[in-house]
Amino acid sequence: MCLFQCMMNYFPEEVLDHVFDFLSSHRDRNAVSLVCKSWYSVERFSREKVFIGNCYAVSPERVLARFPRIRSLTLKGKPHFADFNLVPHDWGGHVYPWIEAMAKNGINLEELRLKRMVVSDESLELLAKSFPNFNSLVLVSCEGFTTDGLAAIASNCRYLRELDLQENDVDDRKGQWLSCFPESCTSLVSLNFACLKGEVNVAALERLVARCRNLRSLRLNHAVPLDSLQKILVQAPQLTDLGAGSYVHEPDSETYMKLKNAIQKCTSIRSLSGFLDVNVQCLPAIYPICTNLTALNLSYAPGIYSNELMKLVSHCMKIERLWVGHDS
Amino acid sequence: MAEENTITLKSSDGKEFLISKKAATLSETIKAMVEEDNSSSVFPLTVVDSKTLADVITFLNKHVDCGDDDDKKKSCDEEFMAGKDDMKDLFDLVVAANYLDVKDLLDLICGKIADMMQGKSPEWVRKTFNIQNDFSPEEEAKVREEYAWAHEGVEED
Repeated sequence: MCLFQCMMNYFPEEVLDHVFDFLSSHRDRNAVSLVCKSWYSVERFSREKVFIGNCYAVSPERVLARFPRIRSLTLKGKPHFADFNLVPHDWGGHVYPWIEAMAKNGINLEELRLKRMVVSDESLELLAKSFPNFNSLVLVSCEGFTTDGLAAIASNCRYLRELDLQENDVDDRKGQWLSCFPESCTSLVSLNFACLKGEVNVAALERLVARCRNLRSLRLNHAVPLDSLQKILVQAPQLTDLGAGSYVHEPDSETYMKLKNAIQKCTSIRSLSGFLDVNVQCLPAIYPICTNLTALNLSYAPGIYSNELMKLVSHCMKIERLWVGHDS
Repeated sequence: MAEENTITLKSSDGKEFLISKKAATLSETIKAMVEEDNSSSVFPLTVVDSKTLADVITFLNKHVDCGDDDDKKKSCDEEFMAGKDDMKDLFDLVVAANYLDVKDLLDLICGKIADMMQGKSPEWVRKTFNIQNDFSPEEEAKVREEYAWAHEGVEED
C-alpha cells in the first residue's frame, strides 16, 4: 500500500508536461497549478498561451516571470463601454510596454491578440523586428496606429499566417502596406483588412493572394473593386471565408460574367461577409455559393435589404448564423 | 516458434511475452535495445510489471495490424481504452509508455488523464491522484492571488 501511494505521488515530469499539453482551458490549467509545488512548476513552464483580461491587472514582468515560455498572448485594454466613447481619451491601455518586456526577455512570441488597446506604429515595428517566429496578429477595436505599422509587419514577419484587423481605427498614410509583403511571403492563411478606410494597391493584393496557396480567409475593404474580387477568386477558389469589399458593377458587363464563373468554382466558401457597397443587380452571382453557407454577415452591407435580402436568404439552405442590421 | 522475427520481453515480475519484432520496435526504447544487441532474443524490462506489459503488447499488436490507416487506429484506440478507468492502471500504463517511448500510447493515455481532470478542482485532483499538497497556506494564498490575472476565463465582450 505504501509503495502504491509513493508511486502515485510521482508522475514523471515529462509525463505531466505531456498531460498538460491536452489541457487547453485556462481554468483547468489553474486548477492543476494549485495541486502541489511540482505541478505548479511543470504547468508554469508548459503554459504557452496566456490570456490577460485587463492589461493593468498585472505587470508584463510578472507575467513573464510566471510563464517564461509564453508564445501566445491575448490582452484586453479598455472596458467594453469604450466602444461608446465613455472612456477618457488618455485612459491608457498601451501595448508597447508588453512588447518591450517580451523582447527584452527573449520571449519567442508567435501570436498576439489585442482588444481595445492603444497600438502605436512603434509597437508594431518593435513587434515585427523582435520575434522571428511571429505569425499571428489579431487587433480588435484598437487604435493609435497607421498603415506604416502594418507595413512593418508585412515587411518583417516572414512566417505571417494571420493578420486580422477588426473594427480598428487606423490612420491611412497612403502607404503601400500591401506591397510590403515580400515575394517570399506565401504563408498567409487569414487576411482581414475590411476596417481600413484608405485605398489599397490591388495589383499587389492580387499577387499576394495568388502566391499564398493556403489562404482560407480573406476579408477585403471597400477600396477593392468587383473586378479585382473576380481576379482574386480565380486565383483562390480554396477560400472558406470571404468578405467582399465594393460589390458594384454593371450586371451586363463582361467583368460580371467572369465573376459569376469564378464564384461558381468557389465551392468551399462557408462564411460570407462584407458587401460594403452594393449594386443589388449583381447579387445573383453569389446565389450558387449561398446553398453551402453556414454564416452570412450583412451588418456592414446597408445596400442589401427587404426584397434583395429575402431573395438572398432563400438560397441559404444551411445557414446557422445570419447578421443583418445597419452599421452605416 | 522463436524465430528471427520475434523476440521475448520479460516483465519486472519475471513473466515472458513473445512479440513480433515489428510490433515491439514501435517502442523506441525496445528498438534501441534490439539494435544494440541483435544476438539476444530475450529483453528484460525491469520497470514494467506483467499486467501493464500485457496491456502495452496488446496496444502494439493492434497498431501493427492497423498499419498507416488512421481511421482504423482511432477505432482500435477506442476499443483499447474502453473500460480503462482505474487510475492506478492508467498511471502504470502512462509511466510504461513514457519509459518504452511509444508516442501513440503516451498521447492516448495522457489525453485520457487530461480529460478526467477537465473541470475538476485542485482538491479533486489531489485526492484522485493521491498527491500531497506541499504548499504552505501562505504559498497557496499567493498562487491563488494570481487567479485574478492568470486564471481568468476568456469572456466574450
